[in-house]
Amino acid sequence: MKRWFLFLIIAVLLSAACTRASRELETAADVEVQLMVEPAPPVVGEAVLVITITDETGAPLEDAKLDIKGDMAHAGMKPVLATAERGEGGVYRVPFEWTMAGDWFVTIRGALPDGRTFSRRFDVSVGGEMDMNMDGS
Amino acid sequence: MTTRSATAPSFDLLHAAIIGRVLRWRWGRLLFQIPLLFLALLIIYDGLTGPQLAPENMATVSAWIHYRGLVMLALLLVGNLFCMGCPFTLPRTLARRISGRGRRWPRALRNKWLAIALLFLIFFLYEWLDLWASPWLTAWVAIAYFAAAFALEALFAESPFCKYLCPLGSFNFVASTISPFQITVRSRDACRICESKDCIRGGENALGCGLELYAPQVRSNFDCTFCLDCARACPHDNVALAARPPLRELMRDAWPHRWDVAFLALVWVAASLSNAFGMVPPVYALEASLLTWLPFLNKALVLLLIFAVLNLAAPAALGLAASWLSRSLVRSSEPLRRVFARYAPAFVPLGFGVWFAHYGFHFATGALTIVPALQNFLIDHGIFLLGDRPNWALGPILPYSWLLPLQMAFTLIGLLATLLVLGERNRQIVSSSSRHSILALLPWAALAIALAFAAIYLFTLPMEMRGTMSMGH
Ligand code: SF4
Ligand code: SF4
Ligand SMILES: [Cu+2]
Repeated sequence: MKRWFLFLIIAVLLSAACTRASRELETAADVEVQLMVEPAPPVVGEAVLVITITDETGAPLEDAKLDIKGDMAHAGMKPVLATAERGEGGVYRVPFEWTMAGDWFVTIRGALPDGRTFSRRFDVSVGGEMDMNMDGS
Repeated sequence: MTTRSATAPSFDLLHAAIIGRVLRWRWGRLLFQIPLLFLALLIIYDGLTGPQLAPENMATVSAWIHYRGLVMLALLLVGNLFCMGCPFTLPRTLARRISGRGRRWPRALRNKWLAIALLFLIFFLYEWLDLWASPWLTAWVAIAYFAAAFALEALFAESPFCKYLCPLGSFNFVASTISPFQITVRSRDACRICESKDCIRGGENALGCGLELYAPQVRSNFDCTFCLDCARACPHDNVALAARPPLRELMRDAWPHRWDVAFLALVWVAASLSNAFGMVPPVYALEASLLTWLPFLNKALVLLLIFAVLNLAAPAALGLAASWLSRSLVRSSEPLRRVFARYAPAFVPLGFGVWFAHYGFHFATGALTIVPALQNFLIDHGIFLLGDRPNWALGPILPYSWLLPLQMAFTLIGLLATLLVLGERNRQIVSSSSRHSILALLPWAALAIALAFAAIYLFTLPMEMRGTMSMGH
């Protein structure tokens, strides 16, 4: 009986949850986002994120406001946060830091002057300082 | 009111002001279980429906940062509080009512071998599926727990899940043998003349001990879930949850002399090291080289191999070798099982130090990440009680530079305690048999020191948080 009750609760909660905002990334189809990292391959320590933003024709978008959040794949590590306001020729160079080796997710959320917003997520595998050669391939 | 005999405990939590009343109250356990039930349901709900980025999800943060850190803290300061508040036993209580009398748990399984297998399995699954990085899988672990506890209760007459299967329980049973509180009785005389023995049999409106422990004979926290059913059942209010001197249980010969029990303790100690090993660069190098040497294996099998060696073969081989050496050095003809069972429990403090250092590290670096995860959760549901933007800049509760010294300190304190217990166990046997001497101690002490230094070495390596995702690329 209790079991059914439990499943009922879960079912109700699941259907209520379809609308959860933080689950979805809004991917404005007409904005292209590319991410490159320096140094490459990435290692623990200071880094630069090179983010290129263009429209669907390839024309640079220079005035996007970017919110960047780097999370580790595992729970419990404080994310690395960064922002950027302007990118010459659509290229935004953002100082960043990989605080631990491992698998990272870099989430880039942006807003264009015309009010359109977009977001993209990239995964980046960061090597330790010592095992660059082991990891980089 | 019964008179107190000379054995009456000096400090008894069950008869302390207020808290004692709450604990002995008929619904006292529910008071702890209901909050944990809500937490478990939240883990299932957020794990299945929430953001799948582990650091943003309540399921992964609360299960792998908070549960693990706080459970160690509770074990160190009080005892097996998680089992006391275990939410998985709640639907089980209902199952018992529905099913009525089931059959008895098979005799052949009335030991810890299955528990060891399941503890091994959960550590393997954790590493292989990267449960820590997956809210969805974390939710399914919780669901599987509810289902298993319910099904076993519906099928069997007693409570086999806690005693013979549950990996969380096995972990807590071993760890709680160093905890400062233990079930005992206030007056042995009262038990001697007691006819009902409700503490184990159950009475009119209270259950007896589901783990089949008999309060006046309890000398160990092993197998005790701190459910306090015994205290509620006793018609003479004679059960105590008493403070005890640190390490007393391990220094006395309080455990049954059984292979399975002693081996569970060593597996638990080995897992404290292998679990930390799972996060440092050498494990990835080892996986890679094993894959080149043994190309017919895949990632899962390589990991299974590494874990079978580290968590099962190594403790078995090292434990048996130390027992054999220890016996040979004093030319004793004692059965190996007795030697093994005498010294293996002494490794619990060392294992505790390493588990505490490891889980404490994650708790110290990530305790506050629960705040933005909760903000995120509330905002998703249109509740702006904690602000309208998650504060992702929250995380650590201790400066990063403190952590390695603290980890070393916990490991060394654990080692010291293990050496003390080894020495005391050895002293007892030397004084009772002329054959023994300090020599019998040497292999065990060497093993403890080697394990402690292996742990410290692991803690000095840079940690990496790698998931199956990158391994699958
Ligand atoms: S029911 Fe109470 S008095 Fe009787 S044996 Fe158990 S603890 Fe002792
Ligand atoms: S002795 Fe048994 S009934 Fe008493 S707290 Fe421990 S597990 Fe529960
Ligand atoms: Cu770790």
